[in-house]
Amino acid sequence: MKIWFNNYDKPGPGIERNPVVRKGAGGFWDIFKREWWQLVKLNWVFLLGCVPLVTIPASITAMCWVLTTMADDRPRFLWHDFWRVFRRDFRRSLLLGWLWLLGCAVAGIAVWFYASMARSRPLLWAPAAAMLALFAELLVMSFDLFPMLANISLGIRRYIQNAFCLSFIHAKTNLILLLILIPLFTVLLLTFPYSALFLFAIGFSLCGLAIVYGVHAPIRKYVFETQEKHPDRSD
Amino acid sequence: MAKLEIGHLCAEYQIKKRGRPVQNVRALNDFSLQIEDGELIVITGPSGCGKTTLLRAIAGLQEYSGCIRADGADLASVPAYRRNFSMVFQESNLYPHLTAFENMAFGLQNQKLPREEIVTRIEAAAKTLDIEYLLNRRPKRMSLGQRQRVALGRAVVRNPDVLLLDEPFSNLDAPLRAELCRALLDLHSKYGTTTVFVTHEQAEAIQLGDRIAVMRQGRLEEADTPDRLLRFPRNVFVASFFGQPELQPVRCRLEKSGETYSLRFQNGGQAAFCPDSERLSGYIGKEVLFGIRPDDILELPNGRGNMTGVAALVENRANRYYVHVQIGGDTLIAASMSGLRLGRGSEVSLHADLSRVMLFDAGTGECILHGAGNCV
Repeated sequence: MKIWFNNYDKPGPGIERNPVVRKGAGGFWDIFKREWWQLVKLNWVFLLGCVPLVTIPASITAMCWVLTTMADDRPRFLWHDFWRVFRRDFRRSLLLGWLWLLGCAVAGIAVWFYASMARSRPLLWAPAAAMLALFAELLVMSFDLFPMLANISLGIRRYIQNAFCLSFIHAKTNLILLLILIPLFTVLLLTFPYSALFLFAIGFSLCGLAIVYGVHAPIRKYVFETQEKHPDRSD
Repeated sequence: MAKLEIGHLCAEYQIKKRGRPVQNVRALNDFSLQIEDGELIVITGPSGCGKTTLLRAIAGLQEYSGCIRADGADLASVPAYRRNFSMVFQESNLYPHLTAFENMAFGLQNQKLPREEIVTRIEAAAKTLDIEYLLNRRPKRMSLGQRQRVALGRAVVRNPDVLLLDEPFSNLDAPLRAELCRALLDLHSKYGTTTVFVTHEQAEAIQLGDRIAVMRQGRLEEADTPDRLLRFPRNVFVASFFGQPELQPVRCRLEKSGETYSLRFQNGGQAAFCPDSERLSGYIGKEVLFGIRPDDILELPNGRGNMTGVAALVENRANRYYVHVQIGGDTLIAASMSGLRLGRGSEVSLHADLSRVMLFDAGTGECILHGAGNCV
């Protein structure tokens, strides 16, 4: 039987007390190897949390909290912690989430509007490009917004300010994330409905992990640590 | 925490061949012992003496007759899962698909404790056992020592009334074992749980035990502090089982002339002494067993000892030489000053500290004298 199953009595090589934590893609791969089954379960819990639609922002926030514990290599009770954060941050996630969605919708519609008008009036390419930049900025701000919502308690305005500043502070990371996520979602759209299998299995949590893994270190450095040093700065 | 009273405990198990019972083995035979609340007691004895069966009976995993009481309540009708006892085995038996954190949380989740309390308890135990860095890891990659630490953590986070440890460190190498013993002592001082620790390692027993219980053939031979077991063993079995290097009894005849007693050995040697005990009068002219700890009898190169014998073997134990000396048909172990210079078969002179001598009844093995008084 041991041909097919692991011999669990056999001792392992031992786990280092202070292992060298790899950075970049290597570190991401280590987390994925360690937590892939948790990611699958998290994906299902996340989808369950999204069912009433209005709860999508709270579900994203709760998922970000669980993903932060994965990035930090901390233990967790996936189900319990997900719903705890879901309930705890429901109201502000709802508010900020729909504000963000509204912003994206306005920017998206504006891009479409100016772009269609610009065919007859070339000067309108300028506002179209500005709206596109705004749309991209809102998209990038969301990378920081939800992990911040899950991990730190601030005023609404402070969340937006921080997300805006952070989007420029770690612009390189954001660019890499965009370069990964935009082609990935394009492929997923093109291969729909087959790609639904991937999304249903692990897609959302895996993309979420990529984002949280990328933005968590700057958030910790510029928001958490500053907050610890100057707690009076929250609104 | 609980006070355990074990009275007249008897237990049997069946040896089976091809699924059929072929032999009944009596593993516990009228075993009685009282374990105080918060005590760390070590059960030791030779292989097959019933140590593990005793633990299994306390845990409720073994049928028995007699009684086991926890804080006065008889456990006979209490099934294992209702006894608030934790047990750690030789193998860590961790769930391979769960992380260390989840393994430790498993029992607490079944008790329906609030998650915050579960996390607090696990973090406290992990800090004491120094396994915080393992909490998010699965057992597959852990070394044996790390697994045993997690298993210990899993046992103590439940805040059990009694912690039962069945040779939990026997698979580990000596330094790691000593390290885990220290961790266990830390845990015990922090939680104060009544702990029953089974081992056949004397170093472990001495390091850990408030008291040590020595078993033989399902019976309790003696339970006492490590110091008293070494100095004042109840019988020749305890004296020779407990202590490193081991005490080896030598047959001799007890004689008396005037107020002075003397021991006449089979090789004609004689050692005279003045005991304080009156018990010896019944043994005059009879054969008794002479016992002395190897560190209390010294081989002297200058021949000025109070006993003689023939060197049979010299061994080095932890940078100290011991010589096995033939005295008649028996062998006695003594600390050696000459070391490897002693040749096999050479005559050696021994100086015994007679205040540390023990005499045992040759028939029953019971101790009749601790310390032979002044040497004459």
